[in-house]
Amino acid sequence: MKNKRIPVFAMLLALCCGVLVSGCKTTDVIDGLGAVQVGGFRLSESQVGALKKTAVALEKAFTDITPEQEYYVGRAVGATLLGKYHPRTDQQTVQYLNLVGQSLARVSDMPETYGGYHFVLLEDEGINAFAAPGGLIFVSRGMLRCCRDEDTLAAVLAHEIAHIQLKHGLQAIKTNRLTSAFSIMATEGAKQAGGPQLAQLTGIFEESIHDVTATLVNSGYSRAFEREADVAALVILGRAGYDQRALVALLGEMKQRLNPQGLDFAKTHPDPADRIVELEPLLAEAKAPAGMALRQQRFKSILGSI
Amino acid sequence: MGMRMKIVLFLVLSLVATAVWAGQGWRSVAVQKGAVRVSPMPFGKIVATLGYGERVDVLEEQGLWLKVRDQQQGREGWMHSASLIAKTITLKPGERVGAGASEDELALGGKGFNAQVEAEYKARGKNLDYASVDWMERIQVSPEAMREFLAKGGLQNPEGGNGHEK
Repeated sequence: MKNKRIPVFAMLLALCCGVLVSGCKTTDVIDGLGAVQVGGFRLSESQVGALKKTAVALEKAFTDITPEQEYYVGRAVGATLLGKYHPRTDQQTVQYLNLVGQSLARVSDMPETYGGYHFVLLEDEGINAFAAPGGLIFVSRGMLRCCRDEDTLAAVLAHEIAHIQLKHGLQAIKTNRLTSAFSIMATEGAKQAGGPQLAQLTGIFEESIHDVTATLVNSGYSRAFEREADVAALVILGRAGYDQRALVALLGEMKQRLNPQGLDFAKTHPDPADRIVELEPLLAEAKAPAGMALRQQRFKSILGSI
Repeated sequence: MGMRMKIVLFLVLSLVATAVWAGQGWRSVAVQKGAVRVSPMPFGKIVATLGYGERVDVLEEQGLWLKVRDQQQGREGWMHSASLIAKTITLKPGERVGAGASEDELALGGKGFNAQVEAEYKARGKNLDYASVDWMERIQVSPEAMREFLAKGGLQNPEGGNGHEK
């Protein structure tokens, strides 16, 4: 018996190496196996099938959610937010906000997403900014009032872009939901999704969207996530040529304006003063970039009256 | 019996591990509109736009940028590595993109949270404004408007030049 096991291991290793060289995937390799002889025991075709499913399920845990699925999650989160707040649709505001946003997103570590980055101003007096997974970014009028110039607005958008790139929104989805979704997807019948599987997946989708929106609107991210997004925002601002200190200026202004009992940013974010303390050491070298006055001028002329 | 379990476990884990490493010389486009640029710069001129799932061969690497050639038409240029993924993307169950795709490549096989699930969710949901989401997704910024915006705002970025395309 022992003698037989060695060739099996050798065969498996060879298969694995084959995968590395050819760039195929797990399932291709297992597909290649019919009934197999393993360690003296013969695995039937159905056992190989079961093995294949286990491999697929494990693979899911590694690959996380796909860009396409992230896109659909983001759309649903966006539809929920836009069901609650009205977007401002005048062309000049929309264009300007998206130019500032794109100038940041393009220099970030993830310049493109499945559906692209899109920015919108919400008619909401609370101090809010939300990033739906995949690239939809929402800034409230109340938040805009905390911005004294284009560079401060850029700081808001850079922070939200960072949340998207770091996949903070997706991480609000409880792991067991994704595990269930993956196991449904792995079932044979899901090759043509429909019927009970579609209903099940939609149920999981619904719960996942709730996880994300509840986090964005009610509970907020962890302090660690906010810090990560602040640090990433500094990098993005610096690369784009915006003033990195604008993030600190923004937090200072928010500290002034936030009502500690408020249901907006005050509830969902750490105290701005604490965030400033954490950012200051990173800004020792930060220099005021060129063109701030030019940018402030256009900011005032386009958004000044809003 | 114990030995058999170990072997089975080994088989599963090794295959999963190798799957993670699979694919070095090519990538699939992981975004709907993947810009192929003339230079490895954020505002470099766009020479082609590739769709989700299209395959490219990697020719060269420079930081986060990859010089690629698309497998369909042979167009060459630079793409950001974050827009690419070392996996085969099957657009619909059963549909194959490129060679070697298996029907079980369901990770990216259009299954899971997709348009069908969205339609079902929309039918169930209350206070969902998908029309505004569609409007939001249509917002575009043209390269000309971007160039003008950067220039007039004095925005320079060391990695991307000043937005003036060569």
